[in-house]
Amino acid sequence: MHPLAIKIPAVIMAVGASIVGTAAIVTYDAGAVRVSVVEKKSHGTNVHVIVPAVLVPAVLEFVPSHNFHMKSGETRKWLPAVKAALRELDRCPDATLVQVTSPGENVNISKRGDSIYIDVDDPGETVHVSFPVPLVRSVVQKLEESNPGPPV
Amino acid sequence: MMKKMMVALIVLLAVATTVMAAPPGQWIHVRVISNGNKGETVRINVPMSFAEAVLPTICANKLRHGKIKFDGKIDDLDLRSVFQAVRDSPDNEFVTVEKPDESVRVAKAGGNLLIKVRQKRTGKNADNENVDVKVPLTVVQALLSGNNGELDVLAGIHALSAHGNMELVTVNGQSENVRIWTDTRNTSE
Repeated sequence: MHPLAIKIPAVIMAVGASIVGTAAIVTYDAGAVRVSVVEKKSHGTNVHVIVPAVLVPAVLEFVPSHNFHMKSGETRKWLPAVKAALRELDRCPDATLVQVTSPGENVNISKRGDSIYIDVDDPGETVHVSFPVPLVRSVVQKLEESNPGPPV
Repeated sequence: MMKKMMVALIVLLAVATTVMAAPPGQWIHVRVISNGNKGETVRINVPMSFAEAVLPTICANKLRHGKIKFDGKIDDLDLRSVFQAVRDSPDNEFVTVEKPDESVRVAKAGGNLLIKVRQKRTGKNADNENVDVKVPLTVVQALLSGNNGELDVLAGIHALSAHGNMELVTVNGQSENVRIWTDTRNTSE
């Protein structure tokens, strides 16, 4: 067998492995959006969605900007507050930010690492949502770009 | 020379990283415990730096850039004049209202403005509450530091974050207990 016949597949495999490895590291580093809804009734619906956060900004680029148009400037004027909140959340140490406990319902909003975790447990269903804070920033940026206007 | 510059650069980077990664100092905590049938407990923990960063960006109705617009006078009472009079006076009880079912006391003590409300209502559905409010005078001064007709909430929070752990508001009632306090912990007890 010609030596190149072994070397070429080996190089292709090495390059492929390093691309997959890099993608895995980038994906792990960027975190993921997790949504889980579990209905407690028998034969209830269970929905589990995990989307690597690294994909979301790329997907947003393909969403037509009219989908991000806000009907009133009323919503737009809150974007600076959301941005400031996100900046501070980045700096804020891990903590439970809001906790509501009652016999029938528990709500928990916390920050762990780079992500925000929202857990709701009520008699009907259990909901878990988590997302990396930097991801929300890219959504806010998309909203700003799609709704140009004077600085608020 | 090059080595010294590298060491200096590394020290500078380490200090900058430490300062930038330093956790926000003071936290404001709110805890509401309902004693009724629902038995609900709400806990909110927010870093003061969060409030300091977000408040200036909000422009909604009467709250703009960390300042709340108000009339400046409540029932023809000029708040600034009252505050100046209180600040310049020695520690004392300034207001005492005694009613059969309620007593209210406003005092100045140890650099703080203290408000105490005690309810003594009787009857089947009486829901008496004991309210204690303690606000440092520097915070009140900061709140009133804006233009006429403005309450500078942002300056108030700045002033509050300079104080250590503080018990700001406690409401103890039959149906609900409320506590608002500040400390350096990121959790409620």
